[in-house]
Amino acid sequence: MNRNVLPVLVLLFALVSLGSCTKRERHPMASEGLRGEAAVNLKGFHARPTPDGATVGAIFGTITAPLGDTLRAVKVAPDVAEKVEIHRIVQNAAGQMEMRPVPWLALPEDEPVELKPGGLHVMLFGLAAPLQAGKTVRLTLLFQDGGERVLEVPIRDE
Amino acid sequence: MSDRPAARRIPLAFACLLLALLTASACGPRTSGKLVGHTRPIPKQVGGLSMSEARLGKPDTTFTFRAKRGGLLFVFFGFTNCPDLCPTTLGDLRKALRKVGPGADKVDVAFVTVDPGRDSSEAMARYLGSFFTGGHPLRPADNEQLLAVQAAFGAASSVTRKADGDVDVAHTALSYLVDEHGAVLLEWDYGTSPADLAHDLRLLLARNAGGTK
Repeated sequence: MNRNVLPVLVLLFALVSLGSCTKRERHPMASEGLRGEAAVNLKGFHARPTPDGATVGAIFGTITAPLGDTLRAVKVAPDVAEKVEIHRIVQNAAGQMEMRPVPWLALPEDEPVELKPGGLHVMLFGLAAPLQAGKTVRLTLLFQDGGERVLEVPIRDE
Repeated sequence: MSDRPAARRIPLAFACLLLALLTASACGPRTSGKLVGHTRPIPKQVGGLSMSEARLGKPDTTFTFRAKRGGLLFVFFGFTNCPDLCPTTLGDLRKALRKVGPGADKVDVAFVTVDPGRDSSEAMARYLGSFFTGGHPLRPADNEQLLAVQAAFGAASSVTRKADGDVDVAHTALSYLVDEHGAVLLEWDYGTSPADLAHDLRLLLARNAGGTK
């Protein structure tokens, strides 16, 4: 009996070490080639259909990182928008609302971070075409550990 | 065996009653007479002010900040390159007007651009037209006119052109309801829900209809 268990244990140990090894390698400043799928949960991502003549758009949704992470950047294809940034709406000293670019977004451990109207959003500048309900926008989210997530964001009114 | 259905009937009847009560309180139109928006003891007067109204394919016309007779005028200051606050507010108002139903045709919508440098008449007309038919896209002739109108409402904004060519726009994001005489009856904070907007609109439309002035 014991003779059968030992190889299994060794194999398990090897696998676990290998797993933690890849993780460590990916950690601080990962090179492009080492990118994997980031361990985050994305919920309710959607873009709002844009009014006629609008050149900007916004994407909303909720990100939860079970182990904590940082959203480093957001990307869309150039045929969607010229520029894309994370923005936060804040009230300035004069009591007016203004948008400020957020260079990075901390995702505390297991705490949902909501991108919602009046708060945070993914801002699309210079839309190549209006965002039409029923279509989708491909959005790439880049995280601290080099992981990324690509998602097809539905365009819908809510 | 025979007393089981009776025992079941009482909780069932109770559950039905509870459900009925819950439904009535949650889904029925709110009957509370208290407005969600802010009122002032002495309403601001904006009826003496006017601005150029953009119309698609037609020359601009002049719009005066007053509601139709017995109606209400909704006013919001924004700009078309606004990704969040402006479409959220206009979208929520559209939802609210659908909730209001038949009386909603007594509500006019005016959207004033605080960024006339970038918002052409055509852009304004097309933008507001995506939300409402018969809305009033308003574009100030110059900065003085914008400031005068904003001052009357208590609104403010600033447009800053940055070195990299980007334009930053800051603006107050309240919505206003004006009556037929040009008095500002109500101010709603940004983010007031469509249900609350509809509640206040119904209440004020009913007041107008009742002639309790």
